[in-house]
Amino acid sequence: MLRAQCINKATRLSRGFATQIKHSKLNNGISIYTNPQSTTPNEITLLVENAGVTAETPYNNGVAHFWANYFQSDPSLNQLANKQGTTLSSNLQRDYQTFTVKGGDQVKDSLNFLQENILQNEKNHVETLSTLKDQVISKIINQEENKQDLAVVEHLYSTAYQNTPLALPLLGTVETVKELTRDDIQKFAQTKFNKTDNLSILVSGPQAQSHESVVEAVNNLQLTQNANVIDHVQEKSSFLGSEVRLRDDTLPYAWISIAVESEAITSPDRLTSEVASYIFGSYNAFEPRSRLQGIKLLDNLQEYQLCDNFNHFQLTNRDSGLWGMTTRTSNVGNIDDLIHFILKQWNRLSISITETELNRAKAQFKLALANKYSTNDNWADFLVNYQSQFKSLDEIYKHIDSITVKDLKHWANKRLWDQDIAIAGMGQIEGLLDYMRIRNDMSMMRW
Amino acid sequence: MLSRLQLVRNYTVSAVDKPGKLSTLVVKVHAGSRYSPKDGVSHLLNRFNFQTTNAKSSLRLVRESELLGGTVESVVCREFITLKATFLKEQLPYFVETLGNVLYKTSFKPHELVESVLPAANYDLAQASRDPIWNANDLLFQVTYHNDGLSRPILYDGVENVTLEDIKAFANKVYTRDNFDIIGTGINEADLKRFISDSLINTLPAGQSLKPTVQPKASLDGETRLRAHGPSVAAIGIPIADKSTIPTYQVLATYLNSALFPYSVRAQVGLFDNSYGLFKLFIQNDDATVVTKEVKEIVSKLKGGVDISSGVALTKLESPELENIDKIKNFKLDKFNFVALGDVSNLPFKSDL
Repeated sequence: MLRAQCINKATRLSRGFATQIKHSKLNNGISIYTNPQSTTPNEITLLVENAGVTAETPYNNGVAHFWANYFQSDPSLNQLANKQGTTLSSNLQRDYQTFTVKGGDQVKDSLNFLQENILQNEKNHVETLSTLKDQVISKIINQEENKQDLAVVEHLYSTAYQNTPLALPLLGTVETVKELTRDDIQKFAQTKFNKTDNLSILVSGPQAQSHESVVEAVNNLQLTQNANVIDHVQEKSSFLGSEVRLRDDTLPYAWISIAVESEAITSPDRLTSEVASYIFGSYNAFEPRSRLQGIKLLDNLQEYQLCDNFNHFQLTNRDSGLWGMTTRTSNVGNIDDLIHFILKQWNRLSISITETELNRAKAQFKLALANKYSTNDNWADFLVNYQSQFKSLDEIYKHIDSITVKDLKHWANKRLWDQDIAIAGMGQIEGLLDYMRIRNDMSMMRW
Repeated sequence: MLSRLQLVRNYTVSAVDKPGKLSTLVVKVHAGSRYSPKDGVSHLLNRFNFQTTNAKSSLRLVRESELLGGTVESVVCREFITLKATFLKEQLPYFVETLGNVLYKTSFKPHELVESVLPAANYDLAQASRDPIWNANDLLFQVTYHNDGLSRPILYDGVENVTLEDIKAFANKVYTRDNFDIIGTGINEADLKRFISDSLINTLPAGQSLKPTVQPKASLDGETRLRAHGPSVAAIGIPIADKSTIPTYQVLATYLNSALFPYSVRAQVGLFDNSYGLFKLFIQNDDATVVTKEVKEIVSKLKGGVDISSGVALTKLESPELENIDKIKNFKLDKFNFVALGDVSNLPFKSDL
């Protein structure tokens, strides 16, 4: 059994996310990051890697969402926190989950709170179990019925990675959540949250001034890995070109998402892939300034009013990534044209992309990164997503600057040109052509 | 480092420098809907911002700013039109110049009103009015501030006819150097000062601050009802006239929004000039009978007096700038304004509460 008694001597000072971030790793595997900032309130985030949706099975899908919901919505837990002047929040992603306590005077208290309620939760949820499950279920139904732009990406994941962990929907399904028992919920915490190798603790605010005292406070928790719990071995996710269609002609729009397999978190080409997604960027037909953007694709789409909006993405996960777009259209009679023009523009990434388009994409990507990581809110996201390759935004910017048109074409030839795609459609999608017709647009016979 | 300094002109410039890559530059103009000569003029002017100016076409503005790594936006509320530029730090000179161009002279091309501004304004209205709380809030202001600009709707709805001349005249009145403040974050204050003094902002004509010196008269004990599709909302509004009571309402709002209060409600404190405003409480549900039951329970609870001291600690976290809130203890509801929106046949009247 590992004990957290002495600190790894090799405490290193890394110029990370902000300039004064300190990092050390305890012998039991827990990583501690501190970011002293006197202007913000204390904030303690428990980051649990390998505890997101990919850590679930098809039988307990939704259990990670249950924990997120428990932490930020359970009445008695939040009452307790609010009384002490703290707020609770949780962020659930495919590969990780965070639990954040904001406010409070002492790191120690917040750590104890996290230990009691998340890491070693011995509470009996029986009384509140069904209420909490109902909350989770209503969130699932709400997304499926009212937030199709999000739901269609979930369906894209489910078809692209079918039968592998990344296919599981982030929020879970109504069927699996209904069947969750207290044991399922406790076991997930015991196997995932209790695994000290997976844990990082991020502290910012005045209490982070002394890195050593934070380390000591974590040490005092005496967190130990439960050696008796046997965890299932997580298989690797793999991509399969395929499609899923949820046609519903009673809805006013069609939502369509199409993607190819692209880069995983550790891939050296991930920034190239992200820059490529910013070449096409995002568009909202109702915003005058959005209509004037320098995106060639808009020339085709606007002339025929083919869509209401679109958003290109590079979704990066540990095992694999998706590069593609989501669009919503009310012009449901011309979906074939919409998809054709988008895919023809994707072809251009391999053939005729220009220096100016690349520079525009780089600037947009840099701005988006600066926006996302200018506050503490996405610190954990930065650690999971970029820390393995880049220590700071400066390094990322430097790498972005070095990307050339040639790199972009090389990436597009490998990932995009004539590659299999995953398609997800919701709403009025009668006009969405069959798989092979769309797949054929991923390349062309002329240059 | 924060400093406020008065430049030669009458607007104020304040800037906070921060590490990181991002800068934001905000111009807050006292040109919100309360100053609008007709309903919606303020909203349409807001939508004209960043359209073609004397110096640049709107196309050129968009293409240049995206290539430099920046975005611009303009939003309107009851008090302000807020012009905001978000950009990579090194691009400060360009965006100071851009904001200067907009404030100094938008061209107000007739075709832009028809092709860009009106469709975008209609889109704003369609988006906002889907939210029943937005609609209830507008009604609450109507009930509270009779015959005052604050009762005007924020968004253009076409009820009053607005011409391009109206918008131009309003722009000339509000974009004067006495009527706005400039706030920067992630910007070196000396740089900002220098760039502003070199920009068109410095050559804006003198005018007068539109900010009223006395607070508008608020009426109490009023109510209104509106039938509408969608979820039902009951809203309670309490005008805040006495500046010293503001912290109490802030603590009350925090308390009601938090897990400390057993109902799921939305409470807001809307302040003007940091000295007066309106406390608002919204109860929303798809089922009007649930709204009725909850609003009755909540009002009787608040009328009996509630101990809100448990919300003090949380208020300190959310609004650290508030002072002397430790002693705040009880809140007792007295008179209020009431709005029922939605399935009004199943919603209570004020006399039922």
